Amino acid sequence: MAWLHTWGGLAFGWLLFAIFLTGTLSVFEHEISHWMRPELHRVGAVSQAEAIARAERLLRHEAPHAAHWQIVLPDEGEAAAELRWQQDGAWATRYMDAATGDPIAVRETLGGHFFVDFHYSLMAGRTGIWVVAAATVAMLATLLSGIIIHKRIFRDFFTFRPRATGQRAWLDAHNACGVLALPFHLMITYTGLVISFGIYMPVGLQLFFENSAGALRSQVVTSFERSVAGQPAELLPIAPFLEKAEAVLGQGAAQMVVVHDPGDASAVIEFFRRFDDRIAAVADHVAFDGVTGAWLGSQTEWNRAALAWRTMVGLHLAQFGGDAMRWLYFLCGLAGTAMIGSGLVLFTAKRRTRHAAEASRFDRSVARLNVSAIAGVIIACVAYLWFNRLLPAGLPGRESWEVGLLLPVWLVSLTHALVRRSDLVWPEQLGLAAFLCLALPVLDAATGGAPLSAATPGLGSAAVLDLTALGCGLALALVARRLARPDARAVRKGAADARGLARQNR
Amino acid sequence: MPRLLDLFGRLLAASFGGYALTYAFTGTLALLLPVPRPDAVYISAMIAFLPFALAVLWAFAARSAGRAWVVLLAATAPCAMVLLLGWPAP
Repeated sequence: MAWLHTWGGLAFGWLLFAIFLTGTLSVFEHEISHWMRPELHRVGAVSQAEAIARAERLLRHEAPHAAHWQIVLPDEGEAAAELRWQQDGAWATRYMDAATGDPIAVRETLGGHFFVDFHYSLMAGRTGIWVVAAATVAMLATLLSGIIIHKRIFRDFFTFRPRATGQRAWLDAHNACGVLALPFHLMITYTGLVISFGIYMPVGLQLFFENSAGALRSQVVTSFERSVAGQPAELLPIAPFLEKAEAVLGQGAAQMVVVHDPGDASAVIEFFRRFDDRIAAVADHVAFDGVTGAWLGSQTEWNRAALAWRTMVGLHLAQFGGDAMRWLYFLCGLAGTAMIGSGLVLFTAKRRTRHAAEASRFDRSVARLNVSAIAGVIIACVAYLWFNRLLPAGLPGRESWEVGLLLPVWLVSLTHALVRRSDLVWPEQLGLAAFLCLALPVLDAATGGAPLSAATPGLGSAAVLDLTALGCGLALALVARRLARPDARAVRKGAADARGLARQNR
Repeated sequence: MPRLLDLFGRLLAASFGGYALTYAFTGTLALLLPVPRPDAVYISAMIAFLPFALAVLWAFAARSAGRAWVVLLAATAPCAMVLLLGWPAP
């Protein structure tokens, strides 16, 4: 078991560190997206009904023949409305100032969604999803074996000896991060596997639904969409339906409006409810005939098994409990990330003590690769935010540049880790990560972020991101200093010993 | 050399053996649960990854790779039988 924990942890630890870190950042996906689109920071707030009316005017003008319209309504986190439409199979997106009805030219960016995407697919599609799934099973097995080999779980709650020898301190840190948030680690790992079962454990779908997740979905999600009639018909104004929808969904609970086949006799106007106030990630919805205005139906009751599954999904997505709950997820996620990171360092520290005389080539390589797998990935994550503000807003293919530049950044970190003097690798890379975090608020202020005032909705979140970066930067700087010190202390101790010896010999 | 072979056997048992067991177990559960089909798919999928984790642990806890494989196959075989019998005709 100990063997499985040590070597399984090493084999998947590098990948799992990146998965855990990006997953932790994903908790604040929307805040990060908002920060990365500074063009939206000065948008005024209006009522949802006004926003719908203005969005409708824009959509009628820009995309009268689209197959679908989607209006993501403004809320406390984002004052701008996001409009999407599908035409000839392709989706287009436009942001709109809900107060004026004007489109806003927003830089092309994946925003916080990049972290989500990387977290579950490594930006490598289905292959990536399989790789992440394998790492997640390894994580689950490593967690369980960690519990089995751990003989004093309760006492370790209260044990941290940062001044002890290197190995002891790292073991304490590893145990504390692992044990304190253990229920969270087990929950987040297990629910992470369950989310995409349709891709890597599709046996149920193959048995009953010809391996089609869509076919299963259609059994539990009521669809009010109708086949296209092919007869032009005037679409009724959308905004007046909001009140009727709210009668079912709840006051102020609508999050998205979808119009199927606008301009056709088969048009349907559908309102979807927000689900950030319930654990199960299911969106109640109400539908109206877009031409006659007739009530088509609603879905607020869910198949109980599907609801249980979506509850596990919701537990993983962490959007259900308001800000306090999301901060708790963020902190637990950081604890998990630190558990993996300290475990990786512990691997080398332990072998150094055991084979004190000569560190093998293998051990030295692991120690160096650890730096780029931990500090290099942190640097790349912060660099993503820097590229977002430093690349020209109108650069063609900007979205791919922002993400594509991260690989070279990480390769530089890897090269540095492999060739630099070994005692400088950690402090220099963590120092750079700390600097990038600490200077982020300055970058924000210098490149179009709104000043630190929460006068309009959404502004608060950009400021909170800056402050969080500041906090993370301070923590990283502390770790960087701590890692720079032990060697210095050893050198001083060595010098003192030498002096003492010289005195004795005299 | 036998140690390396043993290790290789355990790794295969944990990955492919674990997947095979989980796949067969999940399918069996989906077939045998006395609930409507959509419910069976969701419920079996939610339980699926527990046997996988246990199989990985077992692959490294067993006395030898051979023993790990014997037990995994013994657990997989009946599930695989049920799954084959219940598989929809093409």
